[in-house]
Amino acid sequence: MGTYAVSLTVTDDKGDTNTASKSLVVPSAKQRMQLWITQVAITTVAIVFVSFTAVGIARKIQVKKEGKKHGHT
Amino acid sequence: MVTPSGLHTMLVGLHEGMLMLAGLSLLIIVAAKLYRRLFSRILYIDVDKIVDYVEPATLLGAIGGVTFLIASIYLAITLPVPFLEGGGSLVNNPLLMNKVMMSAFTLETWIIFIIVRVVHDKKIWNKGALSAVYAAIGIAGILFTIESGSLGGHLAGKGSILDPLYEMFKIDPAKFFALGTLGTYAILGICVLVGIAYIYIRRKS
Repeated sequence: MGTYAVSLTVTDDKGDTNTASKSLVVPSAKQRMQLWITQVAITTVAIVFVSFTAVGIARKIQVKKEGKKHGHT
Repeated sequence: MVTPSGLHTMLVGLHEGMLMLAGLSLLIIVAAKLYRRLFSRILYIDVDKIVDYVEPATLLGAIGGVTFLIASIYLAITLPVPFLEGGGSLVNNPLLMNKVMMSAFTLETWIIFIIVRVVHDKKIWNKGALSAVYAAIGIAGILFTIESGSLGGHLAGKGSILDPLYEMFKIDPAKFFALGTLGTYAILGICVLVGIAYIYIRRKS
């Protein structure tokens, strides 16, 4: 990981100056790869979990609906 | 002679074509079902017949698309394909990282789509809420497929049909699509909400 500082100084007609600076943190290639793997893993697990859980919820609702239709509660 | 690059291009075309077939068939079924719900009193259309004709194409497209996508990924990993040679390694190319990530989500979503369809049979389309969830999974698959194809177009240096959208939302496909803290919490939040909903429904029934 590297930290880079960028600063900008402006001067007006009277000679007054103002400076603003900002530091940027750039992750190393290894850290970027780790972040990418973590992101892919989290999203992959989330997609599987949300999809199958939503299917489970929909199934329960459907079973309940069909039960009501056939007179069972 | 068949070159690895040519074979990869062919497999990309095949999987994108098959997945688009699945996606379009799915959208036709969804549109027909919505039509029946909203406008069937105005003009009657035999929606069940449309579903009977189109539904096999959805499954065939999804299975074919997933098969060719796996073959295409295998080829991209094992054989020297030009964009890997020229574009450097995965770590050094954010565009390639984005493309691989979207391809992984595409593959995953369509596999879930196939599993749900195989488990619940063709009758899934007559099961209200279940058919809506099934359609939503398929639509997510279509969106991931389009995004993955678009990034593939950028990798090949040809651009994509989504470029006006990238410009509108100020998205640079060549920059790493980082989830960020907010995005991570949003994903975890959705998982928790869906989990709570499942527990609630299960206790109630």
